[in-house]
Amino acid sequence: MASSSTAEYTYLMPGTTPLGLGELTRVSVRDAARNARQPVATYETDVQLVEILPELQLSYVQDLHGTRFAVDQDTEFHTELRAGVTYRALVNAEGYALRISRLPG
Amino acid sequence: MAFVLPALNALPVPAQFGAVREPPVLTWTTTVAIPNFSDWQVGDLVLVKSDGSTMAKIIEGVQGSLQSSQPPTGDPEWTHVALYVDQGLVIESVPRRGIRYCPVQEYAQTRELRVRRLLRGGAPITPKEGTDLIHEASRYFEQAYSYWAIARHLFMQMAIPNADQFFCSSYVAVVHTKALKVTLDQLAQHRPLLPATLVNHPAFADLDLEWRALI
Repeated sequence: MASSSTAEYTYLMPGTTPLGLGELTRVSVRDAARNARQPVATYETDVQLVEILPELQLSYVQDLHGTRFAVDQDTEFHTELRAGVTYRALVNAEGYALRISRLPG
Repeated sequence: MAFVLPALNALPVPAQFGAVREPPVLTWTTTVAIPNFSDWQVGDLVLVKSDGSTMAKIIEGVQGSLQSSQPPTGDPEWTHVALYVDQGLVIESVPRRGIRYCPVQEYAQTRELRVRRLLRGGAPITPKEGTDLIHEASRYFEQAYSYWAIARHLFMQMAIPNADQFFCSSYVAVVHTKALKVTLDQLAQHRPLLPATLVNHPAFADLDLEWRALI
């Protein structure tokens, strides 16, 4: 049986960038465990509704770059979410929409 | 480790086989080993390499074909993913049986495994977060496996399926989103989210697997 080896790894310092950065970089659990947990970065972006999964009480919004964010009962809504409408969302690097509101102006 | 039975090798070759026949050498590979679960944590991702079955070959083929058009997915030979529960058990979505608990040992004897742990803010998830993950996972126990969900995911690029339309990696994605608010297919290059996608997914760190022999 093969096992992973730390020898081949180059190291990523995650936590401040979206998950996709450092695509081919691997981190071993042992090394990652030495890191103190950093706050997950948040930022604002414009999104549209792309999918509603009522059975799971989940929806997904997506920005212009194709990055998706989950929306659930804990997302703070300042507007009603409709398909085809662009909203301003506060999202985090783990793919979760914290707040959704109308575009300003 | 290979064993040789010297006693059998020492048996005289019957005369009718003539002098050209070499004495038989009986060897086999020991498989009496189990993962050292003390390093594993509840909620760990358990990736399983293809067993060469028809289903695994189909998944492998799909993943391989996507690899050329939508890099970077991981090695297409990784065809299954499950979540580690505890006590040597995983919870997983499998064809015909749906979502079930299964001993890791069922895979460990014949298939290559890889164990990965979710990172949050650069550090591995805590056992409490892992427990939340498995608590959510267990809510879908016995939900059916859906081939339609795979097709829908592949061809319609839906994020994740409905609650009654799971396959192994979509199940893992749903559980991560519901329990920890982590979207594994957040970026376009992680869609469709298949086992091979999770092999190199940067949201996870790799556990160095250790094994212990059973005597």
